[in-house]
Amino acid sequence: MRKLLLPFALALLLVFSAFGALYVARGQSPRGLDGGTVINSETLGDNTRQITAPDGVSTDQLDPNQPNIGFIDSPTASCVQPNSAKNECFINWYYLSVDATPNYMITMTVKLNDIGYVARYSGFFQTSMYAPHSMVPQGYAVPCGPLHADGWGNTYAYTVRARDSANLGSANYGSVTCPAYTP
Amino acid sequence: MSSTLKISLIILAVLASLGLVWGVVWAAQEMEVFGINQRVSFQDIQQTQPGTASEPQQAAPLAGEAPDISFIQSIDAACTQPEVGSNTCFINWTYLYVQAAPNYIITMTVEIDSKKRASFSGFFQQSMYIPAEMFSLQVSCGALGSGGNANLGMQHTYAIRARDTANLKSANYGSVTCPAYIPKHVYLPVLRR
Repeated sequence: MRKLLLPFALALLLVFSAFGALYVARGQSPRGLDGGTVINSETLGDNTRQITAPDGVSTDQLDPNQPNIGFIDSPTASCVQPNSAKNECFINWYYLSVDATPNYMITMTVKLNDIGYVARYSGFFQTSMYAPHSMVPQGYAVPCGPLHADGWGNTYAYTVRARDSANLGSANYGSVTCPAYTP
Repeated sequence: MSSTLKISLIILAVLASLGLVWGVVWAAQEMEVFGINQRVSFQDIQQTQPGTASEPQQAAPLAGEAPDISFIQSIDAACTQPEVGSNTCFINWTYLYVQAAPNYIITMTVEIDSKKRASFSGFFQQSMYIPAEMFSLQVSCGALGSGGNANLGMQHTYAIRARDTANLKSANYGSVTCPAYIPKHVYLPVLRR
């Protein structure tokens, strides 16, 4: 019996070490593009949408399929060149919408990555936020850019972020391609 | 090799195997919890063919079968001249609409006279609706009769194309004729010396 004591002790030590390593690895949850802990994420081509929580916010009670804050709905990112004689295009979305019920929406921001923030919407005791295209009637002006090999002009990456009162974040990462300016 | 060492190695191997299986199962569950999905499926099925400029055409993918992507609805192609006497006209539609359920729409584009003028990118959406107020494309009105109609101006061709995640394509080809640009005549008074 005494013979087996040492192997058992050694084996148990190794097993505990392995479990400890796994526990540490589990603590390192997937990180979102904004650095937060990813609760839900989808990727399709260049488009990615994520729901994240910053460090310190417990995500144990959150259902990844139904967290408090939802994915941001940002359909139909458009880039239009109204006048082909001008190097001026306009980016817009059909609408931007996000729901954080039962929490309140704090902010939603729109950033054209090469240019900077172009819009910031602030919630006011509201659990959802909806910004139709008519709020920015013409859209955000950007240079169309020269003709590239794909037959189009410049491509602009964008980030739409939202944050609710529970400090949960949701973000859409995508890009939109503009017609080329060919004088 | 001593029997103690043999036994300890066997015990260690068994425990390590159990730990490995448990780790794999756990990792699989974690991946599911975090919902990390990569959904990409591309299959080039059909290239649509442009039609004639005079009559609108809809090129449907996979004629005779039930494709996922629909015909594009491009209602009421209009060319308007807001300021009479100027050579500036605007083309737009009441709306553009296409749906591709259960696939996602990737893009819809608009070309005028073979020049790309607008691009609409889908974002995890199975349909795309673009109302008139989202865009309007400036074109030349053209001189009277320049489009073949003695009472109107230039005729502009258009192509509207859409593509979904299954790489199915739909396209509308048509044309729209604009009001004519008729320069304003300024008649000076006849003055006698």
